[in-house]
Amino acid sequence: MQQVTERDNRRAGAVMTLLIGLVLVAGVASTVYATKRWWLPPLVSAAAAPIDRLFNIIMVSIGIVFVLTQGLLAWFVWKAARSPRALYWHESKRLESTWTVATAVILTVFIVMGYQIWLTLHTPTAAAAEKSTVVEVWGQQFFWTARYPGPDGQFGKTDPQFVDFQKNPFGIDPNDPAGKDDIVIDGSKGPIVMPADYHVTVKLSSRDVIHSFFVPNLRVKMDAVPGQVTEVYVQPTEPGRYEIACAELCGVGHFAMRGEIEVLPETDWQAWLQQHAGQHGGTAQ
Amino acid sequence: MAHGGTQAAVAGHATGAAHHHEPQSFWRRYIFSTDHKIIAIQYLLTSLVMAAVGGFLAMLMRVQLGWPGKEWPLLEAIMPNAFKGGQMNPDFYYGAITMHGTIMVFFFLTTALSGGFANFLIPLQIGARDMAFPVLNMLSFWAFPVSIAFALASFFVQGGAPGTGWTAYVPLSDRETAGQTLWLISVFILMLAFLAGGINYITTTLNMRTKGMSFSRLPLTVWALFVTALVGLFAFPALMAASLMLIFDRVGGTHFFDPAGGGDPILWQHLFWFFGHPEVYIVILPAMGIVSEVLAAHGRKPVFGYKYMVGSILTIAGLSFLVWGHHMFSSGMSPTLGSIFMATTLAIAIPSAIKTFNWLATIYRSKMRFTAASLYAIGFVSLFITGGLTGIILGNPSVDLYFHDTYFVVGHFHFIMGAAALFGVFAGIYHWFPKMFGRMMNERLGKIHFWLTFLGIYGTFFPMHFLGTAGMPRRIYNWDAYQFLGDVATLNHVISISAFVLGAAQLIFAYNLFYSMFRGPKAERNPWQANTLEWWAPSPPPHGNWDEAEPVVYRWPYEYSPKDAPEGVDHIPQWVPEPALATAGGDRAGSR
Ligand code: HEM
Ligand SMILES: [Cu+2]
Ligand SMILES: [Cu+2]
Repeated sequence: MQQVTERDNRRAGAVMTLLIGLVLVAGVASTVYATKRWWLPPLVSAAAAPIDRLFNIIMVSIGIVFVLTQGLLAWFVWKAARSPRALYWHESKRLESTWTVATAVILTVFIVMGYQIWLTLHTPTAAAAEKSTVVEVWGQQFFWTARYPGPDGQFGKTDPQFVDFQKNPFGIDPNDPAGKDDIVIDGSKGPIVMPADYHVTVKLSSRDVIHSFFVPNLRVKMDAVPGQVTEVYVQPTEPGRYEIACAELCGVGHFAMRGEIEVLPETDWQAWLQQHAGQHGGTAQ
Repeated sequence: MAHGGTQAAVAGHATGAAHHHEPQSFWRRYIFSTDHKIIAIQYLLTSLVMAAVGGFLAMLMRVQLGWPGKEWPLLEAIMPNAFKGGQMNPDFYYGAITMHGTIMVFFFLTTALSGGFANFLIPLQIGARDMAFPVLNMLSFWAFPVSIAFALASFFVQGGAPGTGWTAYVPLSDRETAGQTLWLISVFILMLAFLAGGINYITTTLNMRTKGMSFSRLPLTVWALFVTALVGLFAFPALMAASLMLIFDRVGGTHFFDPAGGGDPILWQHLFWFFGHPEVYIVILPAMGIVSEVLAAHGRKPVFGYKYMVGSILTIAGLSFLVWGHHMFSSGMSPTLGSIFMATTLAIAIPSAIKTFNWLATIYRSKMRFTAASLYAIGFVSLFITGGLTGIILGNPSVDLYFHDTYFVVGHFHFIMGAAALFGVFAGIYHWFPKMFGRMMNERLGKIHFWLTFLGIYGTFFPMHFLGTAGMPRRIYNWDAYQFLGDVATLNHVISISAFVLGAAQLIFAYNLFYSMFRGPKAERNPWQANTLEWWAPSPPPHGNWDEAEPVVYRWPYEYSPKDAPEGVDHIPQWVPEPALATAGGDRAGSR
């Protein structure tokens, strides 16, 4: 053992206590400060309100546990630098089963809450179903494209043989009457439009590699996988423009795969549908 | 410390082991060695060199993320291709994240812990003279540089290092340039090396424990390393199969993962994460073992809750195979599966919490010697708490739909896996260095290294949670494009500067390590007055470990500050028999 005096050791213990204390205080303070400056962007989806609530509940709970455990750690370290002799104490059935059961109970509560919310996210409410629509969104290096069923509410058939990246990127079958009024929007040129207060099902897919449709304000993220169709539900509440970020590494342009969603009030939405019916490429304007 | 005392009592148990002749030539002794200790040091030093490479890449990434768009003429002069025109180019950035992650997880942490410490500690702590299969052990090590060579070669082929991340999701990795194939070959060879190592650790632990070393007397380090090897046995083949299939897809015309040919890109994710989540525990379990050992030895107090500690290692190992889907909540898999993976994921927090409480109880009323080793062990507990708690947020699929693939995840896994395992490695090095090299490291430099690293880690990775909460996706080369993020420039400056401090602090460690290796003061056999068997061997132990007989084990490894021990005895090592105790006064019981 290198010679370390009792005093040096106590000092090192004090510094360690201080550092853990600093982590505790700075951790809590910076988090409180961050809620004002770097927190969840404003929520504009009715479907996602429970997510924010759950996040807040868990955040507060783990905050409390953080303070308690780091606090205990700091305190024990402080004591350990000063005790004349260590305690020969290495087991306590009671204590150990207590904290095992307590942790299990808390986590079970989180599992149950999490399960309920997960369930609501996947079972659209009946009220919303009255006003609902579907948008198909395709990812591709490095932008998004959207297709709407148009005023008739029916998607036309598609077939790869009709794909023309300029004029008909989805390959809508020109012989299918349901496809005549379909609307296709090139997301690299303008926003993807959605109606406010509707229950919107977004059906996702990809033309090349995996992308992920991340709309922070709507609290959704879903991968767009080539060869598959995945779905998310949103209920935008506030008209306005919201950004889409790609959240799955999809190549060198991944960081710039930005898109926009424009949420329109219902009347504007209806007008928009009429105005753009049959447009198989181009922008929303 | 006085020598003598119990040696005579133990000598009676000589097993008449064959003489172990030390190989004479330099090549056989230090290069193609079959001695587990030399192999351990080879693994450890190689992995530390790789950590330096991975760390350097991290610094470059932080240069870019701290000040995107800024020009760095100096860096351009050093790396003209990566910084063409003064700015880092995105191709290089994406190559850097892939290689940083790959290096840190595979070439640094897994190899340092399951190559370095497993090799060094298992035979010594169970009282064996070497591994069960020494030649296989040597081959396992030598596959490692081959694997590194393949991975690093990708920097120099057409198209550069693969830009697909360490997760190499298909179809992107199917379309990536040639570097991806080299990466896959590298991973395959490495997994083979780990399997060879793991078979050794498992067989050695099962068959070569010395007299008296029952499973209930195994040090927690050996428990952790043994169970880790078992986890690897089931996890590595999944990645080997997946990487082979992807190599076939890339060069052999098969379509396992390619949707255009009827394959399924999600299959890759299932295989990858079936390996990938256990892999996280492959790096953290050995670190947990080290921390338990170091806290007990330097705290002069038995590990609290030995049985629960072993039980939670086993539970974590088992559950680690049932949670992989939490990486795929947003992959479009069935919501029912999502709820199952939520339950298993949150369940794994229970054994993790048990371990944390047990460490806290071990520190409680200990008589801690604040050495660099114990500081790192205490620091580990703090990091593990922080990283574990944010995991509860991510384990909830509804909430994870927002946080997945944001910087929140980067902060989370750097705490729980990156930094915590890193602290385990440091605690282990400071603790076992005297045994490995027969010399002491400088404690003052060790402490300075710790203070800076601890603060550097929190400064770097804690604010990343805020970036993630603001919505910043990970794996982005530039965050300028997004308005919803608001003002994240300040945060990114703070993170980058902390990272540079953190990186610079490692130079102190490198200096201390290499200086002490050759110039440090000579170490005694048992400088920390610890109980496990390796401290009975000379420092460093000779070829064959024990100069006369193998040690015999009389008790569990945590007899620190026992109640009715003779006056002045604050620990009773595993190799000390009862009668010797009665006669040995004072400190002698603890040495030999
Ligand atoms: C000096 C300390 C370190 C710094 C500053 C650092 C920084 C970073 C950054 C900026 C990223 C990119 C995140 C992204 O865009 O997704 C990253 C990724 C990563 N880091 Fe670190 N890191 C450090 C140490 C470590 C350590 C010790 C590990 C060991 C596990 C590690 C493992 C990883 C992994 C697995 C990834 C993901 C790579 C990928 O996306 O494929 N890092 N790190
Ligand atoms: Cu993308
Ligand atoms: Cu996982």
